[in-house]
Amino acid sequence: MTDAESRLRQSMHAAAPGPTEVTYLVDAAWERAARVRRRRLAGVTSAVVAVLVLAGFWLSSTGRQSSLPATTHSPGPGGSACDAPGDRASFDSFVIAGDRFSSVTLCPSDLRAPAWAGLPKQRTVADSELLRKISLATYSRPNLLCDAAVQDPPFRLVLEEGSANTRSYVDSTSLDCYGRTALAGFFDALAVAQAGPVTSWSGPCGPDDIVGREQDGPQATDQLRPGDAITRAHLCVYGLPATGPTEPVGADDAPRYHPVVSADLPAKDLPALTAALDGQYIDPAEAPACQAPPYLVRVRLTLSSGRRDELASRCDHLYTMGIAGPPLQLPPVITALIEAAAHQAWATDTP
Amino acid sequence: VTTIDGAQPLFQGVTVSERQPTRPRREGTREASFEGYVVARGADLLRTAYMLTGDYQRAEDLVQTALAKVWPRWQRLVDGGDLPHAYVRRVLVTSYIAWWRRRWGGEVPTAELPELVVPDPMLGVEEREVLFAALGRLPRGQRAVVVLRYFDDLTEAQTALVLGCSVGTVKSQCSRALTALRASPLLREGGVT
Repeated sequence: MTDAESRLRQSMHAAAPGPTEVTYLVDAAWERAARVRRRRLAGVTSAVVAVLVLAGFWLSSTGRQSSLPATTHSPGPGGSACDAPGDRASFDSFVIAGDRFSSVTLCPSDLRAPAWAGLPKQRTVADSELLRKISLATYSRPNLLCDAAVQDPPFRLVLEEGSANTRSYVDSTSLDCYGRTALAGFFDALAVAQAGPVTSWSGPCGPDDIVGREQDGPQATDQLRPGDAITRAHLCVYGLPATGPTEPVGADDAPRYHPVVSADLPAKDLPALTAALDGQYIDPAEAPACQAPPYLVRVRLTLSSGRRDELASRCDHLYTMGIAGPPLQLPPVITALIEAAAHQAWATDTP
Repeated sequence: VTTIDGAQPLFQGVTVSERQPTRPRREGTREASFEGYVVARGADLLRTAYMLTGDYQRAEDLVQTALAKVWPRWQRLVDGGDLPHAYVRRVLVTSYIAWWRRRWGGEVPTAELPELVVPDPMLGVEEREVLFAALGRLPRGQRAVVVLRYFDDLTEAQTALVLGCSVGTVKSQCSRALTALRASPLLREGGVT
């Protein structure tokens, strides 16, 4: 072992946490496994119900043009939660919403403010995994990084505790950074919740993936194998800016709600995507100009060998996928599709 | 040495009975075996996950994810005579490499969240920051190789087995990682100033 290796080893061992109590991990793992099982069961059940409903609908309306309804969501307690928020919440200085609350509802003080543009009517997140994306930290001290946030439109989060069946609220003014952190997490969670449950590998871009993707087991690698061709690619884009993929994201900008864009890549683009992914490994030290976009792109791939794999737009993932040619960036075919999807999505949403 | 799977000791030099949980053991062989494993090896998994993620909370999340994935097939794993720890570590690392989805909830740049882990007096704050900054610049595959080789002290062959790749790939990834890390104050002559 060289001197550098010894130093690295020594630093890592010194930085590692000391002995800790770990028995809680057992229960946590069991609970999580049970949640995944319940979710899968619910997914199968809803798929069966959806098929039956659609079959009934089709049978009862022969001759009429039918179309799949948009992803449905339970009405949720949005309105009533904002109207009857309960008492002011009391929690420690920092809490992950999913660890304590069963739902979080966003109540803007003035819905006409531009910051709330595009916000869906359903503004409650109740999925336990998605709730883990929402960090609630109470305001502790003046934060110079958050000066701009003073101008953000105020809002209230109504929190429900499932076990006690109680409701309480916290105002953005009492949250750290005037609620920006909590709001960013809430928007991310809400967007995924709105995308609907994933019922198949090439289906919607909803919450199933945050629990654990179904791949070919731990043996699967992220490398496209020689001779493997992509036969289907489903695209999911998270956090796409409203004005298009090239919009710069400023550090002082308040979080905005961005719905998830979900689409199949056109079949004619699949050979080009296969070619783009069939590159050699690039050392990031040799090609430092990784240009992953500020939004997150995920493409679920079905391969000719029957394998399934996934491409995501983080720089480190691009490296492991072996996308060639500095500067490292998304293959143009994906960028073009994102732009097309963005235009389509925003043209549809904008009155 | 008390063993969990009856094949090999899982925790060198320490019996499971020495690390008894503070609550009663679950009924049933499968549950007891799983719980025994976590009690014996959970801290090791947590430390490896911490090196991979650089964040204690995410490390816990990663370990829980890996254990939740393993739990449904636990009985088969133990019955099949496989070494559970090797398998769990493999699931842990592959979950980490595939863990892009945590990005949108975990990397909000504005908040100053409270410190969730007690600083280790053995390593200064600056040194820890330098270490995790350097590791954070590595692609996930390379970071995993570095952690398995120099933190878990696995051989190149064992690392290749965990990652499901060839020994040659481990060597090249490790070499690239060390080259990148040499640019950091961590491995420069004189270390962190």
